[in-house]
Amino acid sequence: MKKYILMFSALLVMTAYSCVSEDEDPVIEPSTTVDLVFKAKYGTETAQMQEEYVYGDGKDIKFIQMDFFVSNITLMQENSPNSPEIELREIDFVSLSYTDAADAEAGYTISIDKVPAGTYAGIKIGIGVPADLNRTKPEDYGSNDVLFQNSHYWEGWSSYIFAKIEAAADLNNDDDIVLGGAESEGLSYHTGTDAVYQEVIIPQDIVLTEGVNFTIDLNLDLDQVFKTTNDLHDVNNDGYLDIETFRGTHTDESLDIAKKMMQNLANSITLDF
Amino acid sequence: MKKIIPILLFIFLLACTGEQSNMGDLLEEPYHPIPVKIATDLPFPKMVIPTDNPFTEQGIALGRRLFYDPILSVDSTISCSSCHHLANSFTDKRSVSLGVNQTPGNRSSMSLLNIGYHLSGLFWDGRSSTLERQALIPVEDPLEMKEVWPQVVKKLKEHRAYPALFRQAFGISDRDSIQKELVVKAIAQFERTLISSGTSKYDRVKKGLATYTPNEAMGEDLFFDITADVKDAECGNCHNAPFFTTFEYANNGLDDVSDVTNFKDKGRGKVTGDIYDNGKFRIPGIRNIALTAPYMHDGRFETLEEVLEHYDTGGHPSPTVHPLIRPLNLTALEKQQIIAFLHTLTDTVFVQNDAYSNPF
Repeated sequence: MKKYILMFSALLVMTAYSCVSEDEDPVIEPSTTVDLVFKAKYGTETAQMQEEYVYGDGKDIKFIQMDFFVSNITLMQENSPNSPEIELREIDFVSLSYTDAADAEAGYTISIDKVPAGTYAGIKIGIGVPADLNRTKPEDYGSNDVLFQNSHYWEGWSSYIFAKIEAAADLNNDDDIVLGGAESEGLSYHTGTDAVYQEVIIPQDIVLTEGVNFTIDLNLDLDQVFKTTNDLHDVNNDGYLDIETFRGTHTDESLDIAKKMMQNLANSITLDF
Repeated sequence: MKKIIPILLFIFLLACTGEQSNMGDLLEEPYHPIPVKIATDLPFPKMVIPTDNPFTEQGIALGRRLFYDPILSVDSTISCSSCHHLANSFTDKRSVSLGVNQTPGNRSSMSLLNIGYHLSGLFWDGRSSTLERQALIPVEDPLEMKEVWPQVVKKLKEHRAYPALFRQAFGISDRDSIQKELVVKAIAQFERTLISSGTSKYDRVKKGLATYTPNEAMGEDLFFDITADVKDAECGNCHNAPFFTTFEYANNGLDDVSDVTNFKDKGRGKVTGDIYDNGKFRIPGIRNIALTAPYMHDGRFETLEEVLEHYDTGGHPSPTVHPLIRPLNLTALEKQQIIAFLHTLTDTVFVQNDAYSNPF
């Protein structure tokens, strides 16, 4: 009999508990908003499209377009490879193609709200489209989805174009940068395929306080992107990609250049807050 | 008697206004909107439909009628269809379109094929963000319909058929509720139905229902740079599948301009105010390209051969030209192969679709 009374009591407690749970307000974890601000630099200067900078080989260069996908942005709870993570954003698109100085200085902001407050050991960011999403195509998405951009998909690679850097340089050293026509000095570097996807891990303590917005500046250096130690691509032996010979990365032949540029892009990112 | 005087005065004043109240005059007309779903077997994304303008059979039918009706113009000579002919994939075969009194406009009319998928701006310069907003502009453009909206609305309210059709499409209870916003909503609904049929040779090849000729196949390879050992004609960078546009703006090197402020037609730059957008225009979708000559925003090229020649030479220099506009060094055969591929984009079923034709 005691056994039945105990079982009945347990059932009663469980029923009562479930009823209470339904009526109670859901537990709201302390949270805040995190702003990730991406900024392009050229060395120590803020990089602004259409402005001229001096390339590694001494030629004048101006950038026209700079954008890339970011993915699997997570906060790491511990400073270890297998750290538990809080995912902030699965996929987004960062465009730093600013022709206005103030816009370039302000950078591109990805704002993420309801991030649990607490102390984190670092941030992890994918540069490019991760393999699972890279198996999809723009037409798989609604026409206002970030992955709908068919300007950033290439059938030849069966891949999204992870990053685009369009530029022009004074390749013939005549103090004039020409776009269009027989003497065009345009440069076009596109990167893609799973092989060039990069993951950036920045171990740094990040303390998020409830209700206090937290801004993380992520600076990337366009000068660093073009560095190479590959003799084949560094014809001038100056530590930079020879842009006169390799004016683009749009074929399988130049995939190794694309991979190096993506590694450089990832490695050039520094965090500031 | 004192009570009657104010009432009589009110009736007198009402009569003096000379306006007849039409309150509720359409309530006897049926209002049973039938929702319509966009259907295509092509690998197109889901079209974004404004929540305040859902598709209905009645809305599409009204929009089609308005699209073809010259009632929108000042002298009833010009309709949307005057510059957008179905047979030419909704272009008009002119370098620049003609408005009322045969007044030449500034630019060539653009194809409306798959126009409902365009979310990055309409017109060559992208100055309208939605089809609804776009449809407001030609009516009052002095180079197009040269009318004013209050007059258009007046004509529609007084029309023998339109008030009932607006009731059927939008549920208005009286003709006084006809407003320009409803006119453009209906036209936009019709325009969103203008979708590729999926029967072009290109689409049939993709579905495994047809095979390219060797020249067409090579043309596609050149166009999209599919295989590494075939030359890259760089076409796919701006005219990517499935719409054959990336919905961006670009300067494709049409004019030799030394200073960024000196473009005769600033294009996108006039809209954004950014001088580095000067000389850029919307990259058009080129499905049905063989039916939409002449080409470019000012219709300067009569043939696809001229277009290919332009790109092969690298165009003309100017400060905002796209970096990929540079000499391609294509052979005569390669140019013909690309043109052969472009012809596979012709969608004959689309231009013969009765649902898009003149209802009058």
